[in-house]
Amino acid sequence: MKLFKLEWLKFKGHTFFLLGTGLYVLCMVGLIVGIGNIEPLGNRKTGQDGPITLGTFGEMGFYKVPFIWHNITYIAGYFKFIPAFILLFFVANEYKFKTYRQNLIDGLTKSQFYSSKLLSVLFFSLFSTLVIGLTGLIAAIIYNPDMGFSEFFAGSDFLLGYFAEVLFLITFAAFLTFLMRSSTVAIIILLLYYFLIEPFLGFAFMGDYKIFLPTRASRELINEPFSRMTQMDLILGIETAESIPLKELIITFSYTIIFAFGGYIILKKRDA
Amino acid sequence: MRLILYIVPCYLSNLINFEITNEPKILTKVEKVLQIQSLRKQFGKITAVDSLNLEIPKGSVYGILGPNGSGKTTSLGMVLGVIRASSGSYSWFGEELNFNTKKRIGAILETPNFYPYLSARNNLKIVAKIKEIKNPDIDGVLKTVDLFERGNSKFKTFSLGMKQRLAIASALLNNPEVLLLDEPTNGLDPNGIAQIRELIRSIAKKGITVIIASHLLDEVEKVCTDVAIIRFGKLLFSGSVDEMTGSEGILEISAKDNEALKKELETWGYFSSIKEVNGKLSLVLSESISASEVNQKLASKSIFIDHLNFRKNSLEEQFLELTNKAGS
Repeated sequence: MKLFKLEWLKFKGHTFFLLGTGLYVLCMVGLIVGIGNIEPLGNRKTGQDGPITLGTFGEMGFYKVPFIWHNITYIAGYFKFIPAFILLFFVANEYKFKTYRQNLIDGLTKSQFYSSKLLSVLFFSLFSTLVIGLTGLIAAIIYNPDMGFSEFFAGSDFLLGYFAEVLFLITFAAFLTFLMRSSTVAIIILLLYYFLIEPFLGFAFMGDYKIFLPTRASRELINEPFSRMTQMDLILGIETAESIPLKELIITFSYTIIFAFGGYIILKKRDA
Repeated sequence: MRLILYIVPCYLSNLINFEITNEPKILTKVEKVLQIQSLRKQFGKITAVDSLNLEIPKGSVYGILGPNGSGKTTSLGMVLGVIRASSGSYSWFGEELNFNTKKRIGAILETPNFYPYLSARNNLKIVAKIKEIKNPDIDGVLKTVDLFERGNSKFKTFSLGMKQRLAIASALLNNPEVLLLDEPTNGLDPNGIAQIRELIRSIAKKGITVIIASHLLDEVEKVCTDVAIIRFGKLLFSGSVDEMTGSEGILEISAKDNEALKKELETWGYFSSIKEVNGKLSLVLSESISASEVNQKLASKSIFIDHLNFRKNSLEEQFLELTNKAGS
């Protein structure tokens, strides 16, 4: 509890962090609410008949339970870098301002310091899952008026998938920051690795084993939901998951633990 | 059960303490705040600190003097537990460094390190939280360092002098027994330097042991009671500042029977300290006395000296002499 209060004291005075968190919440809520009005093909109003005419996402059943959980967690997945970056800066600041060292001098142990950061990681992952979850729940209640309360949660295992995905990414970002001790370098490496190095590795060498690459499993937790929603998968004959895959979930959690532990070893071994 | 768990170790430690204090009674007379035994730090091929031995007595204002890069900060980093020693050991108040000993120490290493986006007050709250101080006297320490009015300003808006003073305030927050400052006046203007020095003096008056690392001779000479000189990570000298500078000069003297000479000289009351170095007695004068006077007085007691040397040197001279010797 001491560590949690300590983190809160450090966090609350930082306008960028508070603003970033606020913006993230607004973005997520706005996105989930607003996406229902988007027409993916945009050809209905013009009256030109294409081969397929689609309504808005909302009309297609974006908010219908159980699809809603799959849909919103997939959309939210695109924005998971925001909480990861906020935390990355939060950790890097401790190095930049040398407050990590001062914290140790003042009486924290390295383990306590690391636990306090892990607490933040966990808190941020829970927090962003909660934001998505609550918004989803409200949307589910509004758009599915004929359902009972317990029915709203059908298919909500995608929230667990989202939590695992965000927790993994934030832990990975924190690990890189503890390793590099600089926000800029950590961000560059994180983005390069996530979007360039690992996809390349996956194509080039790994074949069937690419699921065991560090970030691979976390990306496949929540796959593209729209073919499932529009029942396109039935037409096209592709298989889409109706719940999160267990194997990927286990691999993602395993890597999260590995990186969390790796960060601890780095911190423990190095001089402050 | 808890009581037994408490009593048994106490009893045991009493037994052990009894054994230790039974022997060298003189050594335990002056309590040591910090003891360093052959501390060493190796960075690759470079030895930053080389078998450093140091004892810091309670109640002293102890200056650790050395040029930039001499290993001062590394040494302090090691005894504060943020840099791991390659070998050697240290103890605070006769114990190893842990949360309880850390609570008795207030320390700043290198620059004042605070969260720039937080106010002075909130920064102090963080320190109080870490040290688990129940009702921190934040206003009190801010007043001590003359920052009370600026308590709600963000740390990044502070001048360097104010930052240094806030650092001292934060170190004072838990009423420490030892205050450890690393280059506290570095980069300050004369006014700021005077303020910090005045602050250090008033803290020392309260009975708090102060350890200051500095590369400024003048600072050590003006503020400290004791000094250790370090160069290339090696200890060149340690002792009282008076001993080092000799306010009235230093007398080097020897005779066939140094013991008798020492006994005689001790009765005079001219000297603030008498030490035997390389078969010669080295005396720090507390009152001025001429060489012929010394000679005459000793001869009248039929002690005939075979060496007499008078010197009066500043700390600077001493410092350069010592550091040059080590350098060559």
